[in-house]
Formats: sequence, C-alpha cells, structure tokens
Amino acid sequence: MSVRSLIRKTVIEDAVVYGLIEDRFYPAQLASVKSPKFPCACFAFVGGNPDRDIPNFGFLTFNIWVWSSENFEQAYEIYGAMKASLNLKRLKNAEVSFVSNEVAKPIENYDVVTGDYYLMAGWRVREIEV
Amino acid sequence: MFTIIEGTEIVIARIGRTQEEFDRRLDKVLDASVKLLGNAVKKNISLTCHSLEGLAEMGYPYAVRSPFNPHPGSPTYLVHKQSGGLVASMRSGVSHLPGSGVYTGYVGIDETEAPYARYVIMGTRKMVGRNFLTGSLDEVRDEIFNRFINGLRQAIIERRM
Repeated sequence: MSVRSLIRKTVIEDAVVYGLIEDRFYPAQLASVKSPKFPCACFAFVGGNPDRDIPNFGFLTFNIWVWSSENFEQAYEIYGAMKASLNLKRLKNAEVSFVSNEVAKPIENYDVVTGDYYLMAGWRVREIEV
Repeated sequence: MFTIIEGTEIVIARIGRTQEEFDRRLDKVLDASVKLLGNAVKKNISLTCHSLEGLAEMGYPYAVRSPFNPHPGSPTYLVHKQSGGLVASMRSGVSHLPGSGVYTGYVGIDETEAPYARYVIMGTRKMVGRNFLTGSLDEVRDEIFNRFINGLRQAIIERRM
C-alpha cells in the first residue's frame, strides 16, 4: 500500500470524517474526478525531495482540498476533522512508514461560476521506506 | 566564600560580535535565497512553448474533460505565459530583526494585480490547480538549506581567525 493509499485509508476510516463526507476523499484533484458528490475532499502530491543525509528517507509535499456547495463553515468543519485524523500521526504498513503534518494553513476560494466554496492546505509527508 | 569571575564583559562583547557576524552573513544568504526562489517561480510560470490556441488544439490539458500534463516528465505545476501579468505580479521580500536569530523571506503573487492567481494555484471543479509556489520551493529547498549552513559555517570560521 502506497503513501497515497495509506493517507486516504487513514482519513476515511476516521469516524468523524466518515460522518461528514463518507469515503469521498479522492486521491486526485477534483477536476480529474468524474461526477464528484459534495461535500468532498481530495488531495494531490506536488513534489518532494530525498533527504540529503539519510538513505531511504525523504519528504513529499501535497495539498488537501475540501469542497462544499454550502458554505465555508462546512468546509472548515470537514477540514478540521481531517486534520485531527492525520496531523502528526505515524502511519505505517509493511511497505512505508511516515508522518504527515500540515505546513500551510488553508486558503479559501469561492468559484463564482460553479458556486463552490473550497479550501486548500499545504501538507508534508516525511517518509521512511521500510 | 565567593568567586570573582573576571573578563565577562570581554566574553559578552565577543558573543555580540559573533551575532553581528552571523547577521551580516545570513542577511546576504537570505537575500540570495529569495532571489533563487524568485527565479525558480519566474521560470515555472513563464513557459512559452504553448499558446492559448496551442493548448486548445491539445484538448485543453488543464480542463476537467481530460486533464493531462502537456509536458510529460516535467512537474505538473508549470504555467504558460500569456499576458505576462502573473510574472509582473510577483512580489518578494525579506525581514530580519537584528539579534533575533529569525530570518524570513518570501516570494508570492500580488492578488490585487493578478486576482486569477488563486484559481491557477488552487484550481477549480473544472480545472486542475498548479501550485507553482510550493513546487518551486521544493525545487530549491535543499539549495537554500545548504546556503544557510555554509553561511553559518563561514561566520564561525571567520570568528575563530
């Protein structure tokens, strides 16, 4: 199971998150998702680097988006639950071991064309291959 | 019984001069680092290989109907230059309170000049986002780190001499 899969599994298995968006935490930007149902969230990797000193260690940066057709309050409630489930938690399986944390607070946007309220936050994974 | 420690004023003065040397060195490193990051951002939002018409012919690669990276093997956050407004709206700066040990630099976009920048970075339901700021920072993060390490090292070496 990859870093991507483990992040998604961890978040959607959280009872609070599931109560808000069920399993609609898509592992891709929303524009890539066919017929998304709102409210929902998604995440996508931006980049990253291997560690300069330690073999098999590195970090990845990714963004989390939360989408609401209602208002920003709903988006923040979902984001708060997601953050509580993921921030600074050690995630591990037979293939990877890592800690992810928020590195940039959410910024807001409202799409006047579609009426979407959405947030985007910056996150980082510090990864150790096992 | 007590002990008199002599020469503390000399030690304090030396610590002060060391701090000044650190500040002098690291202010230069900070300026150079912000320029490095600024150049990376500028490069990543100045692609001229595809015009709007060319992107349309490719099937609108950033659109919801068929998002794909028009530059296979390259980062997904690259942005094509159209009017030049995005580059023109770039802003950067540094701040450092002497003696604080905190050095801050930034590169960003002035949204009053390019209000669409937020849509480019965050995307929309119908268009993939291209976070060229974080992507550019990832590209130069190691180089900036190394420059600060070397700057500190040089400051220490010069104080010893």
